[in-house]
Amino acid sequence: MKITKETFIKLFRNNLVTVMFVIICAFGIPLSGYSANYLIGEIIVRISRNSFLILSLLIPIMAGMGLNFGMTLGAMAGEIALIFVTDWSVVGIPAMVLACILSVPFSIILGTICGRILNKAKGREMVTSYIIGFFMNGVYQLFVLYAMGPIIPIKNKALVLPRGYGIRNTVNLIGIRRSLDDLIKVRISGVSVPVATFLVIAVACVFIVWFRKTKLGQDMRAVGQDLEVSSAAGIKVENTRVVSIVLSTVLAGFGMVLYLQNMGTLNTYNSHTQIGMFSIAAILVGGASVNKASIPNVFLGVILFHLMFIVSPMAGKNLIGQAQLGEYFRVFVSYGVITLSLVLYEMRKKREANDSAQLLETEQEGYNND
Amino acid sequence: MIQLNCLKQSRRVTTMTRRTIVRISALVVILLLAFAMLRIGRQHSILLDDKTVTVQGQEYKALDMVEVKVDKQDSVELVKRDRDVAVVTGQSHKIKVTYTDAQWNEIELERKIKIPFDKEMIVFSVPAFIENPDDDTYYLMPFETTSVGN
Repeated sequence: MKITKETFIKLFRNNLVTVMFVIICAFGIPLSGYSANYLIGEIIVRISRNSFLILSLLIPIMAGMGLNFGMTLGAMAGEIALIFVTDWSVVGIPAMVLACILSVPFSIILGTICGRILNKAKGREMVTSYIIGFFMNGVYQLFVLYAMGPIIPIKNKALVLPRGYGIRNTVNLIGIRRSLDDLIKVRISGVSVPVATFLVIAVACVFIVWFRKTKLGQDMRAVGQDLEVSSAAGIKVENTRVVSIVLSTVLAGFGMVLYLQNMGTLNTYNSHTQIGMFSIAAILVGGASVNKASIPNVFLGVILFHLMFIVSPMAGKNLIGQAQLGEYFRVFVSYGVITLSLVLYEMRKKREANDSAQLLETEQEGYNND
Repeated sequence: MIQLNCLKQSRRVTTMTRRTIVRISALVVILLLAFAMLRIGRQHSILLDDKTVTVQGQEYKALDMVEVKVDKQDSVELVKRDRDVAVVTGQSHKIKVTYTDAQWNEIELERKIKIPFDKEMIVFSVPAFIENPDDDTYYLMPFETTSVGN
């Protein structure tokens, strides 16, 4: 295939965010002074920690619901499940499996609520799910701060605030810390690879690939392409959309359990707040857009986005003598990436509409001349 | 026509029933898995106690020195009035107690114990175990904290 100038420009335009990140990383890596081994090790940890969460975003994109900022609801479900598991003194892999199972009902309830609200706000799903995330955060805090203790019994004193009810700011997850990561650990030239975690992520990828080929998956793709045509074809559009959000929320719940087993600490009131934004920023960096995303986007996104995360504090320190620049850079870039991607998406949509209008006009003229 | 409708309806009912059965079975399997995980993964603390105790009216004297090994954990050496803790996961465990009797014979006792599911912490009395190794009601006791009142 011959690459013309136009194809190159189009490719560049469509992957502007990714190209931008490659450039940032290319400058940042030598400035940080980190060794290749250290960077690879860190990237492997980040892939194992974040990939599952980001994979949960693929299904709503497929159903045309955009980037699901409501994935924080799944994260909350995962956290609630982990609090229970810690209270019951369950440890290791059984604790993780139990937390995943426990998170499902919470995720289903929260996902259904979110999906139904999003059905009422068609075309504005992203901003609506973003606000639902804030709203549900309040409900979550009410639940964890006031219901846990007096209504839902919590026996473990280490979990409860000194006043006698509510969960402490930090929950020590020592019982499940790295239990999956350390289950099958392989060391390749000094870099440790959590094989079991990667296998779980691989299963999630296979599930998504398989799901796309199912009847429901096909329905979701049809709904994502055109709501009215799908409805006319007999697809239960609203139901399909709700199912996509529920599935995403359930996967996000599992992802949060995986994420927190790697971290080993649960920040009860904050762990979930940034998850949605960072996951969305990562998938966008990987080359995804509001209406199109694939599994390679997830992994490329995790690598580039987190590479920037790792190198930026040290690069900032070496560049201007302050590591804080890197910290600032992280948040600034996350928001910036999302904004830039949304702007680019809108620009591309307008350009495509213009192109098709022009094409139609040319065809019309040709038809009239004939 | 009526026959065809009836056939269609009966097929629909069969599909519905089959779907319901599959859904209920899946739910039951998940619940069973959750219950199994809860039992397998629950952590318990065994307080290994070498203190003189009185169980069912019988006094069992503490040993001067005894070695206790729980599952594949490192063995613990206890002297008179000593207490140590072994943190275990699951309900069934193997405990091996090694001690020297009055005739300087080294004796090894090994038994399987089952910790009650609802007990997070239990006391394993070594002197009671040596006297009655086959009856866990003698040597496994619930851990009770005594509060000091006015």
